[in-house]
Amino acid sequence: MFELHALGIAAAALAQPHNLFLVAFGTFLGLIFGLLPGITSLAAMAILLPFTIGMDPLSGMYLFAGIMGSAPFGGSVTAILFNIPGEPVNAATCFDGYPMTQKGEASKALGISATASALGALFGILVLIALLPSVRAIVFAFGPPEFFMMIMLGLVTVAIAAPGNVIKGLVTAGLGVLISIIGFDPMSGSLRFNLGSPNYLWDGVSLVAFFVGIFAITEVIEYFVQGGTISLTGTRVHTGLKGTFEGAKEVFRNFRVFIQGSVIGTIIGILPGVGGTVANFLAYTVAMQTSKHPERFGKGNPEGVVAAESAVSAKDGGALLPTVAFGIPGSAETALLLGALILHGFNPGPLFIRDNMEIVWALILGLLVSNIIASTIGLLGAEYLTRVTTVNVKYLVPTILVISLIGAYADRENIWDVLLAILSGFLGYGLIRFGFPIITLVIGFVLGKLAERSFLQSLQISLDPWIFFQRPISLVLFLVIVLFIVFPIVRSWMRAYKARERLRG
Amino acid sequence: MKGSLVFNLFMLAIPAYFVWSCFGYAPTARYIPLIVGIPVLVLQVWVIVQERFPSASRAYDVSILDLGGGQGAAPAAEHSKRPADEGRRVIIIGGWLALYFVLFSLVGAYPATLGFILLFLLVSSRTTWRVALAMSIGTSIALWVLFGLIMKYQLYEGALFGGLVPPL
Repeated sequence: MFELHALGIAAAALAQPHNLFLVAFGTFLGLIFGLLPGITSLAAMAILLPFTIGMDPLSGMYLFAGIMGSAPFGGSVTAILFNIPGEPVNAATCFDGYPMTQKGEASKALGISATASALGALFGILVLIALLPSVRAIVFAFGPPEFFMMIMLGLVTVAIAAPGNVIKGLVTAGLGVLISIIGFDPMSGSLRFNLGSPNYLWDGVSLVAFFVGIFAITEVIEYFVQGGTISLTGTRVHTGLKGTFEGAKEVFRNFRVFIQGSVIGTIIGILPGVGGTVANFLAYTVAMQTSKHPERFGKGNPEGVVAAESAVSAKDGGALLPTVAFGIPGSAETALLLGALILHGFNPGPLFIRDNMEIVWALILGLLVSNIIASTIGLLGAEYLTRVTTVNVKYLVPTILVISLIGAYADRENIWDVLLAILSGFLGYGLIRFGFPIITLVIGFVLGKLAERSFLQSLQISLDPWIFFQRPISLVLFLVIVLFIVFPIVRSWMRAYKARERLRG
Repeated sequence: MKGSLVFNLFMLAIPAYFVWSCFGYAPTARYIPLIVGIPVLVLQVWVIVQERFPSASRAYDVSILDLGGGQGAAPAAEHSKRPADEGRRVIIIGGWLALYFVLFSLVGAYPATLGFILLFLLVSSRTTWRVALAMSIGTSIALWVLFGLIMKYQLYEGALFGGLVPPL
């Protein structure tokens, strides 16, 4: 299956100038689309899809791999510099990346992101190569009950991760789920919670417009209210390559967190339909849960950026596994990739990797080269990007606002999405202003529809609600949820007990 | 305090709407909304009680779960010092956002971008004409190159120039 001649064909094709150009062009597009909030790499792939039909399949794959490999890093740049994730999958990168920027450590954060992205992608690719022969068992072990428990695990971990008032975290998580299920019900077909709008909300609330509002518009409002510069006043902004390479070293200093994030990213990538946003949040949360200093998270802790970014990039390799092995896409990007393969006359499924291994290798090599190019650009360009944070926000507010709202429009070409983004922005501002965590709202929104679908599918399978506790993987996931809830409580009790003992002593 | 109560009541109204609406739908359409909506409703009541009567709710304080960790709503932690005229500033930016939406709907993406950035920089940011013109024209051209030229993407033309407003 892994005969070297397939690798040779793919490598020889990559060595041709026009294919190298396609990878570089894809990488450039991925970076640009990743940088722009609201416009995802998926849009770039969708736009280019028709143009690839006339290409040689290997060339088409190199173009797509270029986009897929670089977009996560592009998205992390705006997450770190402006607290606005360029891609939804970079949302958790904001939590420590942006505080680092405010402390004048933007170049270090970008260095971490570039290195963790490249190494995370490499990790995912290596796992892809290693697991291709045995992936079938992993994918088919996850039925609807397991998916439901996996989603619950994601929700619970994030709700617990929100600091301060956990109750408010749970409220916004639930609210996110409720907002996500607006639109037609997949089982009965009836239109739900549409606020009297029979057309616009039929297909639910647009994820892109909602994210643009919650992240970008909220941040624009905050900039306008606060004034000044993004780097907090009085902070010395470290520019120069030294800070960037210091960031690269941080990945190796936090190697355990990197491996942990990459493993989570790869596993989430393998699971069809879960997506990179979950990988990003889950890796961040697990890093915080297992850290010796959880109190440093959210305040510019490099561990947070390492975990989030390694997971996002590692998930691409993981997501390719079910795509090429069974024709089951692991993410939206791989779903589009699958469409491209079908357009080129391939039949993705178990026979695909036997007969067309050179295509798989082309994707692997393309991802690898794209990550190397993107990270090199990131490491060398961080110095210049960092300077944006010293610009007075009065210049940034109108520009970011316009680019973000056009991004909200461009996704579905619907002007009401612009209004939705604005309203979501005010909701986000209110949440922040009154101490409700946004992280739980976002993750609830991302997972809500998936949760409902897998819950209903599970009940269709057995009609017995106990199905969630009768299947081994589902039960294990449930026990992990319980552990995630109990562990911090026990740890807090232990700390309180030790503090009392010290006072007595 | 008053603003907090108003926002908390708004946060209560959202799950209340979902729970109330549920009863008109088929059973499969209301499982998750009810399973999620009712606890959210109860928890939000708890939040209101906690904030209105802090001493009475202290017995049920759940800060034991506070890991002191990552803040999704990072700005809340970072910008704890709010400006005195915060409310006025929020209203002003709301006005600017509304203006952009109206311009976008009427004259389309590129003219709206050009006009909005120019107006914003002159009126709100009080920059010079030269800077305002350079930034507004530069941003509009950059957007046109990206969407119109490279991606061959037709941005909204505006209702006044034949753009369709989709039904709500």
